Amino acid sequence: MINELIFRVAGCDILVRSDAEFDLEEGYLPYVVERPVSVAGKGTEYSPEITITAVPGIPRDLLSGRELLFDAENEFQKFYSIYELPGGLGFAIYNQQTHSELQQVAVLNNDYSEWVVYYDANELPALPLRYPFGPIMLHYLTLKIDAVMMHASCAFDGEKGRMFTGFSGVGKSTISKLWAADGSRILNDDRLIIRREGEEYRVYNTPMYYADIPKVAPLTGIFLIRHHPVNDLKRVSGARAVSKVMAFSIQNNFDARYVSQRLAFFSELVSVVPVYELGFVPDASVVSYIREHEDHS
Amino acid sequence: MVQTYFQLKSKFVAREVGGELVVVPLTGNIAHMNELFTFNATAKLLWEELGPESTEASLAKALLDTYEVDEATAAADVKKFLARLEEMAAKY
Repeated sequence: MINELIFRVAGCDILVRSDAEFDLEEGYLPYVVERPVSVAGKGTEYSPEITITAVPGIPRDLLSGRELLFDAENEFQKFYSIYELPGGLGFAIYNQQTHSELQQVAVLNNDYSEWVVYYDANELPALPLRYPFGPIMLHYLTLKIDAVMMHASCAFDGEKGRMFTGFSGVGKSTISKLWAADGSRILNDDRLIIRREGEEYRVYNTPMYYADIPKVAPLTGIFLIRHHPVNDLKRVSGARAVSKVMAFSIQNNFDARYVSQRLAFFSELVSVVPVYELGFVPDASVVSYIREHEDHS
Repeated sequence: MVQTYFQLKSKFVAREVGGELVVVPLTGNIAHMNELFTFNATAKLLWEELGPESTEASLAKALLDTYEVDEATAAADVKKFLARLEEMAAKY
């Protein structure tokens, strides 16, 4: 049990601290890093991108009467609700097993740098970042650092990082396995962060429910995939590419500022990284097909 | 009638990309997160021209002033554009 640690995602330090002892879900553990040592006499102070203060005990009235801004729920599941608070946003986060039980309440300040997450004091082990809080927090990290989070998989063959995205069930995991069988390294098949670094874009994996080491790859192509009777690759660009790729990003589009920031990011992204529509046969042929056609489509 | 569509603009954020427009709804629900719209150059012009005083005639005139099209084509493009806005208004 611990009461302070740092984990690093997409090159960003996230400090978690609490007066109480807590644990992290298994998927975070490979991302944990040592606290950087301050340089003596330089007056430098460690400043993580995000600080999360975990507090046992859920203040159930904190969000009552507040304006509801966003509901993340579908016909099967309630994930979280976002409320307007003075100086920031408030989150009611629901248990994904029971679907409706309040699991955490979280407060985020206006520059997305400081979280306070309240969790069930009776919970054992104490997991203040329990899913889905982690992905929510990382989504707001991407707003802070001008990056995006995608529902996608990515395969890196040592030269090219190819991202595969689309609706659930279109074959992201399938195509990842095909590339893995060909020797590529798979970043993961669900939530990836794209970040601009200099003149190029890089893809980072994020903590999942299973333990996996942090990975990064250059992003050299984005493939909008679907199953198809034959392998078929077509380059798309401009507004179509922006709308198609952005549709598979994780978004909380209740605020025009967020949407404008995302639109600017994706507009620049598709001007640098080629976007393709890929119909594919789910067998090894698609790997060589992509290699032969991606630079000529 | 056309003026009511002007109010719709505040429910979306638009950005020009390569002469076309990507239009993203502001939404309070995750269910609409994957729905984005693209407008071609003609629809983009009409979206930008759409104001509180707009009429079908004023929108058609904007097309006539910009493109070498006849009045019938311009009127048809405006009707097509407004039909699309009607679909968007039904959702947002």
